[in-house]
Amino acid sequence: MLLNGIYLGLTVVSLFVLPYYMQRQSIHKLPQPQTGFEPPISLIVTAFNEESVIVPAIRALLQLEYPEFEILIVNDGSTDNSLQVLTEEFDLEVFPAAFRERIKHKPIKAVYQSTRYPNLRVIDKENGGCKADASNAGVNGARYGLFMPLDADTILERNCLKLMIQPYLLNPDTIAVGGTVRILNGCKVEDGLLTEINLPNKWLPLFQVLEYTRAFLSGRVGWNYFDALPLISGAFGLFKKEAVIEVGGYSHKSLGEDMDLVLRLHRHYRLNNLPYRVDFVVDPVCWTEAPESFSVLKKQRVRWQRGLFDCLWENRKLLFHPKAGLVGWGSFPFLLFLEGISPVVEVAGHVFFIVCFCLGLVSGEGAFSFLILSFGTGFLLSISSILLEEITFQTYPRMKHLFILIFGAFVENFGYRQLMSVWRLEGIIKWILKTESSWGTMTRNTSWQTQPVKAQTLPPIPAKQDVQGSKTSEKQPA
Amino acid sequence: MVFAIASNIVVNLAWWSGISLTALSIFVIIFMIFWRHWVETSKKRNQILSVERERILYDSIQSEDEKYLEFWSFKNSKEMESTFGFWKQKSISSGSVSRPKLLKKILNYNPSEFLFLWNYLHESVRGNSKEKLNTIARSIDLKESAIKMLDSHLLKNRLLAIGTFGNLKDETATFELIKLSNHHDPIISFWATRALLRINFKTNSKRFLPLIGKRMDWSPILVAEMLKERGADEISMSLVNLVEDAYAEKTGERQMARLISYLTHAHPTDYTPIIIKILAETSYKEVIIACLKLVLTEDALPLVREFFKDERWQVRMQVVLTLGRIGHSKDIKFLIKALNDLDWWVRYRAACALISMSGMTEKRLLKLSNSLPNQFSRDILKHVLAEIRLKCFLQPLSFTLSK
Repeated sequence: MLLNGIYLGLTVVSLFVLPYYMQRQSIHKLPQPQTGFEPPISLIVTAFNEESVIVPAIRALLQLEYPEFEILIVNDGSTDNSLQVLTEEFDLEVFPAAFRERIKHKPIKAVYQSTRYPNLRVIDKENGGCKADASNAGVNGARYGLFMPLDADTILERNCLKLMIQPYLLNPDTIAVGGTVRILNGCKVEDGLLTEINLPNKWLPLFQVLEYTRAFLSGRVGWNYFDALPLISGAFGLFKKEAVIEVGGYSHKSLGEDMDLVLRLHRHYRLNNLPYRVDFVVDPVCWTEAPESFSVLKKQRVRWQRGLFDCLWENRKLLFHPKAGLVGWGSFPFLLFLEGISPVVEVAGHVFFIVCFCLGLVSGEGAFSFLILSFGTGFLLSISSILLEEITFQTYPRMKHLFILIFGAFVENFGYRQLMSVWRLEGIIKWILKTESSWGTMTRNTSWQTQPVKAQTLPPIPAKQDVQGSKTSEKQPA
Repeated sequence: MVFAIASNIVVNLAWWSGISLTALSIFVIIFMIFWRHWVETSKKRNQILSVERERILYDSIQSEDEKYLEFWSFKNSKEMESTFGFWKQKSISSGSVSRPKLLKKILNYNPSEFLFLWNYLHESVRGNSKEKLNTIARSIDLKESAIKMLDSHLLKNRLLAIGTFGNLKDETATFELIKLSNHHDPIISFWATRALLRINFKTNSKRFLPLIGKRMDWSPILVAEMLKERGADEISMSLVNLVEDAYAEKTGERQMARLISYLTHAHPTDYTPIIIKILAETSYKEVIIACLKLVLTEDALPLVREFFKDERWQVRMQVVLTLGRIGHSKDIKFLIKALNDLDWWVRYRAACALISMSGMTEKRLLKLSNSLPNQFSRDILKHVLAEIRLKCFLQPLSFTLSK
């Protein structure tokens, strides 16, 4: 209830902030020549067994509209044909790179350079068992001062770099910028570029569309307004390399390495009284595939909750620290008491209420009243997020889409939200019990991809060892 | 156990809160449906009206301008952009766009859209075509619409109005523009300043150009674009004076560095003396780096070499870059020494600089690489040589190893 209430508050803030921002951005449609002041960017694509999606994804990245950028693919010990597919498609050759290891990661096997695209390189490394390890190798290998970590299945809009760079140009103290992540399920993609926007035709991804809308248009915009943004999606953020290296890069320990990095940046800069800014720009959009099955979604949510507690524990110094500002007194307590502990309260509340109702301790009217209240807050929260979407981007173009979203917002209150609370509670229990953590594997549907990837018939690399994937860095919306 | 009986005030509160929130949600849903309906209806209406516009235009415009009509019958921004190429051509060819009555009708139909298109064209075309666009604008009293939009509550309309006065070089709204140039919103203040400079650079530059050094919230890209637009002949001395004044006033490091970086749009002969002066006196890292980037004359080499031992790697890297740009054979020993630097970037840039030095052949570099005592130095030289070979492969026609 309180969580929903705070989200509603953030939505109200967004309702004021977003329309003004949209007007500012609309003027950017006027022709703007490039001036050479745009700093170059390194795009770090971490890949583990991504042969089915990597080539169209890289082809799409090569078409991004930006004066100077490099693409650095980190092949994290893939056991499939990822490297062969890349070599075939982009004419890779071994490059005698003077690689510098400023942050720790598993050893590099080789660095490859595309002989067709001078801005495309591949780092082939031993599997590190987590995305953080691959990202750290990418940070070490990145040539430029700003880097953007990406997943191989991420679809970026072509102008996103131009939009993401804006906060760095306006404020040199900016160290990280996040953008909006949307759900790709139901959309159509051709050769790595989004050609048709549609809603998913399954319930689970549809509910996730609503979750992402809530998280990005309400949560992120709201926290950003107060300069207390606690999270930037691991797969869609633009970071200052030196700042990230200064705090030791991505953490191998945490399951939520993206949130951990942002919180560590906050901790480092706030507690040392250093000027900095973590920003969020709402219009650069990246599209990603959401889990469609209960089992994958459950693993994801359990892992996110564990990751959340990992991050909160690691950065506990921030909590109510006199120097921590609104991060330590606003967004961090929000994450801890509401995002973190709320599943315990929610599940306990539900169980307690059902037990009391069965024992006759709560009247039918009483139970119904609280049910209505719970439904009312949840429904209003989702509806207000859809409202934000409607008055700003209208991403989903048809009236039919609006009705589907409204219906989804209604249905998700009866089972889906409760199920999420149960899974998150499981995550908390597993974190307390310190059971073995796993990244698991994300089952990719890729039905949105209309072109089959060529070179799939190449012989696979013989597996050297039974490695654990570093993939599945689904973008955490909350 | 009386915590949740039907008569309990808490239950009542929960009930009515839940009902209110649900009712509010329903209200928002109804609003969204109407909103969406309105947006879609507007789109359809625009399509119908565009057919009507087309009919009027067909009656008035000669048949050879059929393509031109398509431009005004666009249904959405994508269609507008696809037909935009043709419009540009038409605006350049004489006489094809000066049809005041028709254009006036189009302007009255949707001033905001018209102003956007007019400004879009103005930012896209060059030279005489800009003048033609201004002639059209004057013939249909575009500035009247712009004056009305200057007070619009919509930011987009305000900016379009400001931009229109700048592009028209019209002084009617100068007083309002001066007020807006001090606006707290960086976008509004920048657009107003740019408009003022476009209207009359000679008169307004003394008063408004200094704002580029003061307004740190302005995008340096937009400022650079504005300076580039004026051209070095026009702004060179003004910029140099601005830097001199800012330096005399002991402006802050970051502000100073940004201001110096704008000197790339001035003539090197004008800015070199002040750059050398600042370089000799300052200790600010960002200012030193900004100055080193602009050093183009060999006279400054002794000064540049002094920074070779600076403890900040960013400064050392810039020194190496500068030596690569203007250094001579005497500097090779510095660059070889820099191959041992603790920082990767200094080593990398030193290797790049070495390769670009006169007389440095691949054979000589390989010999040098083998003679280097340090593994780091050898690795970085091999790395850069491989990059050069790759470059040769990618650009087989023009590239040679030595300068």
